[in-house]
Amino acid sequence: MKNILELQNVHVEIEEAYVLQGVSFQVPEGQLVAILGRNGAGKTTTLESILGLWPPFDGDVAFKGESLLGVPPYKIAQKGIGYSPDSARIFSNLTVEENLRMGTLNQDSADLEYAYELFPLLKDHSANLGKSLSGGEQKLLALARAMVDKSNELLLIDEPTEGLSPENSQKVYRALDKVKERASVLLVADNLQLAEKFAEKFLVMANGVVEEKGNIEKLIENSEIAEKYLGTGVQ
Amino acid sequence: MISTLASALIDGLALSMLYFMIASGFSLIFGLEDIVNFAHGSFFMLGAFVSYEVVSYTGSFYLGLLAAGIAMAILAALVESGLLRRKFGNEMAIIMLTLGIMYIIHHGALLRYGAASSTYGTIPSYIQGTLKPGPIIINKYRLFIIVLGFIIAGGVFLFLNRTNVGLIVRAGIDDVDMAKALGANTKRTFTLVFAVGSALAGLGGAAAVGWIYASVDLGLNYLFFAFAIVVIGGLGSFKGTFYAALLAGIIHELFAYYIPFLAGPSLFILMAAVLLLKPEGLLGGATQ
Repeated sequence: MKNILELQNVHVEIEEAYVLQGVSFQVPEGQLVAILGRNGAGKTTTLESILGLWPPFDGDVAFKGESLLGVPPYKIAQKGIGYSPDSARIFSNLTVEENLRMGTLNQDSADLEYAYELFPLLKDHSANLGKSLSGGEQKLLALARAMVDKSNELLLIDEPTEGLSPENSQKVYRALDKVKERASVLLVADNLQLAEKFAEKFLVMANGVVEEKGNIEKLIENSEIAEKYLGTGVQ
Repeated sequence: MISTLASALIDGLALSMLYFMIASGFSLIFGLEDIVNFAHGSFFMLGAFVSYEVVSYTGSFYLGLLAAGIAMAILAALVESGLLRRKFGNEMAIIMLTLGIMYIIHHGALLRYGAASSTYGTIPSYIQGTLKPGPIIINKYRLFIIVLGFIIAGGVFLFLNRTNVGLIVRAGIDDVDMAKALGANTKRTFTLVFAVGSALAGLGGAAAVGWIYASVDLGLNYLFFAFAIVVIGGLGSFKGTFYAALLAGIIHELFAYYIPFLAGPSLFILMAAVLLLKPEGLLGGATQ
């Protein structure tokens, strides 16, 4: 199976903090890979370094076999990578519809129907400003914005259910089920159940390195991994 | 009594539009790029002299206005892409660079024009003189500035709200890194906004020549005015800048007509009052 994304020995510094210390893994085409780890393990930085927001000072990031090093973030996104950050980061002074249009900049015309299919409640709020939504709704909007462009081949999704009500978490599960059919996903999972439910592969990060990785069955069968690196109640 | 009030309001609206033309670009540039462009007032002043020269040379008033806008857009695009872009993220370097540009333009203009004020030798006859509907006297040139200001405000509003580039500008004011991560070429957008914002300042300067005359002092004076209006309206808010300019211009002229000694400081009194009552400005945080 071909890899859509490959990180090789990626090192990243942020304001003199040595955050990623040689991260290597692959995302096979059509699969969902879950990243697990405690806070500060380097999960979000990994996603942001793929997008070029924190460019690696050593190592390589390749998308569909092509290195992304030195490529500006907007061009990386234009190659077909969607991104939903952990803190939503919606555009608070743009309407819901305009936020979704920001997710379709690579398309000639903005087709937002797919986003409304995934999260119907957003249609009811389409003319409302992003800042008028609840925290949970903002999170759903960020996910919809990452998923709305059907031409994206890889989605980077950071802690999609963190802080969500069980009802909204179910909406995220249904959306993940749908997007998995057409795109590869690198998912920072905010809980073990999310990874076990959707991922084919997993990797566990700690202190800026990948400590464990493999098929998801390995994680399910080996409770020591979760206990050692995630801790009860942490992830 | 009514004619005085009407004149004050007309003059106030005209002044508001000059304030708006310089402050709207200043606000957009600050909102999107986090740049306090100290050279922005100099673009206003230079636009005034470019227009004055072109009108003197060609006799065409509208060519003068157009030349001022285009010249400032080109100059600003060169400044942004050739100088400022290399120092993005380094606030002190940006301040020093824009201050340097301001001084170069200021002293260049001083060498060329001295301390004298200049106005157009010719403007179209239909914007000369006054209209007299009943007891009210309306200066036609000030009416022209009002119409020009509203046309520009409408154009910028449509640009921001009806185009993809406008959407990226507003998104970038909210969160520029997120806009990049979604595929927005913010570098190109920065240059465009810098150029358009400076073109508006140049156009404002050109429009000012027929009323308050072109002079080297315009640069520094209008930089302060722009700064105060952006603070009053709310940093990065286009609508806020428009309302603030309206308020500031009208208040200035009402004072000028009725309590003249308060006209000069009126803008800064208004700024202090807004900062006390609503520190984020009239529409702080709204980008539309």
